[in-house]
Amino acid sequence: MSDSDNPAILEVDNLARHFPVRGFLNRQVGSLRALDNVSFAVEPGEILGIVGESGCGKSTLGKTLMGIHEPSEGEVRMLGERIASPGQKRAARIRARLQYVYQDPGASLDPRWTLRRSLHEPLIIHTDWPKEKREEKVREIVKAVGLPVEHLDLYPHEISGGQQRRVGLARILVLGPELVIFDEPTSGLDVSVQATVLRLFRDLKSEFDLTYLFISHDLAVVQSICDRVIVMYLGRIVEIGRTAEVFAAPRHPYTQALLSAAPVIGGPRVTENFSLQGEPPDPSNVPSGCRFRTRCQYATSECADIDPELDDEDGHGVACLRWRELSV
Amino acid sequence: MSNLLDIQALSLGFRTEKGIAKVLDRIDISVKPGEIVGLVGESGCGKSTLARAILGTLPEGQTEINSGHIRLDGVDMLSGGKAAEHLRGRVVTFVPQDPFASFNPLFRIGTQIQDLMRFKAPRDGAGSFGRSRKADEASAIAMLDAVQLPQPKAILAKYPHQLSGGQRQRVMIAMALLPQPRMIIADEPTTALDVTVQAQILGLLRRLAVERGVSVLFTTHDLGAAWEICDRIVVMYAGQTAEIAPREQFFGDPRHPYTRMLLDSLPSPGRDPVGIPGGVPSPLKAPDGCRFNPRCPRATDICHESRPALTTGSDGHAVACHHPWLAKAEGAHV
Repeated sequence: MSDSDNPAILEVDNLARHFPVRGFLNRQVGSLRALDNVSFAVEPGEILGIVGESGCGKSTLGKTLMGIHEPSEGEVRMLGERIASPGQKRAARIRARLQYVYQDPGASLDPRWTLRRSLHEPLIIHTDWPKEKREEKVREIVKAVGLPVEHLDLYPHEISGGQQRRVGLARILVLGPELVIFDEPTSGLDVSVQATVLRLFRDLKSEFDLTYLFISHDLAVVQSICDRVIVMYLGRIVEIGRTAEVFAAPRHPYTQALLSAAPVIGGPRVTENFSLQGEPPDPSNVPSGCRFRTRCQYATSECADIDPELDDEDGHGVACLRWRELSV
Repeated sequence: MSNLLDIQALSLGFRTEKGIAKVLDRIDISVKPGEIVGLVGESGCGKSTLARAILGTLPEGQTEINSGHIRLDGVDMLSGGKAAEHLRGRVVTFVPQDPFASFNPLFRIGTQIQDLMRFKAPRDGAGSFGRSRKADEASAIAMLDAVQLPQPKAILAKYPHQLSGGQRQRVMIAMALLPQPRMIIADEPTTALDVTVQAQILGLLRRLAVERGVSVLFTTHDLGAAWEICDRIVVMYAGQTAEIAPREQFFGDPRHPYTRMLLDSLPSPGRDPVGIPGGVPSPLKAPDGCRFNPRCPRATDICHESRPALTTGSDGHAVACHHPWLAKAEGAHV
């Protein structure tokens, strides 16, 4: 899968996560297949984007990698060590190296704690450092996220929302993680704020040698910040490749539709000839074969029978039976 | 052609515990019949307040109107009264951001549409007593069909929670169109939707508005959506009108420093988004003069002293700035 010599920092193998659907008397009446057969690898130092519409499983993927959900099948390896598989308990030391950033990291600050206490807490849990050493580390990180050190004595309500966000990020960075998973980090932000937040992410990445997994539904943001991108549809990876290639020449019909739906300022009005109809089907009742076939204009009877695997060519994989003939 | 909606020098504020929040400061906007106008601005710029002011749904006890007027079809919407009430929901209708919050979860879609028609929609079926329920249902079904909902009859029998977000927004648009309005105010109608559904809804809104000659005032913070659907775009900043321009000119030749910085903040490959330092000022203590002056790289003394007037050029491009950009921008967006 990887085309460089670097060993992958995170490898995901055939990962699946199914949620039981309960009916009368809590009996299981079905299963919601939020993730199925997901495999990919994250290379050190890259920003890997995960895009898709709501309900495609991108947040479930992030949470399963993080250990918030247990996988139903498959496994996740970090630097060669298995960190998640069905029934496995997660070791605490893994959590320090793999961090998860929620939509608004500032919201996870305790309103009754000073920022100093909030920032010391992860170090108290994960290290046995003396107080002075912790304080030194906290100060270093606070400066790196662009906050004055005097703010450490303040409470969350005394600083602005943007500053809370920075403190939330600082709290994640004090442990020195290697891989950070961002879950919709820019949704709900105005573009002027979004631009400064994206720049901060990029600066922190180069300063601390981080690798990012960047989950977002905003195609423009993903295009501007990610090195590689994964496109998901109904719990499956439908396309994976370098961002520039995927955006310039998408191979999967779904990726093509998704990209053509985003308005391009200066381009033609996309709404006038937008072809994709309807909305994704219910994930508790997925179509047979290719999951996109019910909305795909190129679907044939074969698509209903065969569930396509990722077909990799030059590091650009696509799960479609007909992509070769369609790209001609 | 005379304007359908005409807002001039509208200033209003809300009484709060900490004093008066001056949310709108001498706003000028007009909408012609059949025109789609985008109202663009970041959160807190007053665009939703303006939409509510037009509808006359601001909280009565707390609102203080300082100057200006809103005329819709010649009727003053601020003074209230029977005439304004008659227009509301008939001549001007509303599409909300979150349709789920606007439906009653306990009643079927069909019941809610019927209630709307009983009070607001013009009669088109002849019934023995007042209006005919059959005719109402037929026109409701025809409208659900027009917004491309599959099996409209089945939709009428469903509850709001049984529909998806995109379907609910389609029903909302159908309900906004049923009274045969001359103007629709759409307040961020696609913000909660996925991009493929957004493309469908925007296309639908534009097509129906053009076909029926309905004006649309479309508030959004998404500049891409504004490009997609609008004929003309108004930018607001902290309760002031910054720039008004036809769509191509707005994106191709922005003149207000705020507009330019906003467009430069959009993420695009191969260019670092710039962003705007600082934050939107609180309406409780808004800066004097041009409210953008604390964040503006071009600000001089005059910007702190006096508020620039909105001046319109011969090309219909209006800008309120003491130091507007005149030459076409390098790396313009069109």
